[in-house]
Amino acid sequence: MTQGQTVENLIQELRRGVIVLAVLNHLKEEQYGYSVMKLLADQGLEVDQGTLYPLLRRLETQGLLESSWRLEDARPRRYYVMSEEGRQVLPRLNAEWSKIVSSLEQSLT
Amino acid sequence: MKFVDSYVAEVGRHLPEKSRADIEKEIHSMIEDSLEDESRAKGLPVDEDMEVEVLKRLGPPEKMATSYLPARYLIGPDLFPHFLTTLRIVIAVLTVVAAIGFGVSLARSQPTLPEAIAQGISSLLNGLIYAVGIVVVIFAIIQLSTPGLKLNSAEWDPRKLKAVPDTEKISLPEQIIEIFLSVLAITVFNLYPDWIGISSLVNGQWVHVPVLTDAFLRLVPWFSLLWALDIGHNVWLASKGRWEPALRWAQIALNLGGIALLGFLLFGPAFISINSADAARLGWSLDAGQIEMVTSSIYLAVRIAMGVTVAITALNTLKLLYNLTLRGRIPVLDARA
Repeated sequence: MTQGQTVENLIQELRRGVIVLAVLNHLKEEQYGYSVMKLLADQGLEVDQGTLYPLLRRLETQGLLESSWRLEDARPRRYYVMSEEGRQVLPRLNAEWSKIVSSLEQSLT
Repeated sequence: MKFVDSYVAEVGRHLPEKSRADIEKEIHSMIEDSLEDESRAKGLPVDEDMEVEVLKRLGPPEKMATSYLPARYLIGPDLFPHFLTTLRIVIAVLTVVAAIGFGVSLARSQPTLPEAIAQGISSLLNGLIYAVGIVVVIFAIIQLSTPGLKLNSAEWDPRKLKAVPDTEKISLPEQIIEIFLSVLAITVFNLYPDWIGISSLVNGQWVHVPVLTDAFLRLVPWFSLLWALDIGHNVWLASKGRWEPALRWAQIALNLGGIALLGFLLFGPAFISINSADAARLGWSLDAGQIEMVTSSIYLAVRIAMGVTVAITALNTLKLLYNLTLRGRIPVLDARA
């Protein structure tokens, strides 16, 4: 494995951990999968559909999200929104993230 | 939408039936969103080329389906260390059984050495394939029947960990026993070779019949040399207190010498013999055919024991060679010591 591939894999691992937090923070309000992807991309966090959609389903299975199908312009779309449990969990995740960031900032500077 | 429909159907083929329809519907919706976005960005209506472009970005249907599935294992990470341990035990047992089989085959059917080695390797490989297959199936059944299995999750105490055995340290009593046995062998085979035989109580008197033939006695000087070298090796070992690479190499040389001498006996003329006069002295009331059968049985038993000894010594020698060369284990231990 070349150094470039190693770095790429490590970056992927870093992003994988961050995506859950980013997705949850975007789903305080109802969104469908593609719109979540666009919101993340606008913030510079590119996530491919093969990663995002299964993640949304997994978070729903874990009870952090709820979903419902809705017809829009004769097209079905699945909308996700944070569940009550998700709303309880998110502040704890955000706090943990802040701790990690401040801890890392000390090491990085 | 002909490519999209085919793509979604293909993804569905790799999904469990329970969630298939729901995921298919979601993927279809996701692709339609992508196409709409692409069409808006390019200012063009959706066409087949655009479908192909979007689907290519999504990746192969199998990969897309896999991303929706939980990690699946034939033998999961929790079971895998136990699988490896079991496999090691099974392989070790099979190797010993094959070595014994090799020795028996050498002793019984007198094949040429290459034939015996080929038969031994072939039966070992067959046995290994069969046994490894069974172990894999058993572990796969455990994995399938207990999803989410977690082993070793109980609290553990580092103080209960086994101490690392010092394989380089020698046992002095063991060396002394080996030296004693070598001295005994040199004494008996050189000074009292007639002691090796069969004794029987006939009419209240002990009768002893030596059984070693000239074919054996001619090799006694060579065996004596080997035993003498073995005594020297054991004294050297006892004085050092630990195994060192030079001592290991000397052990390999002694093992090879022993294998060669036993090989001479196994493939050479008979080294044990009992004639009808000897049988009569022992009080055996047997005819010539029966004496021949008894002699052959004793000879076969001794040859089997020798064949097994050759096989086990050869295995040990290979292990020593591996440790000294490929594995590089001894230098590591030396460095630690």
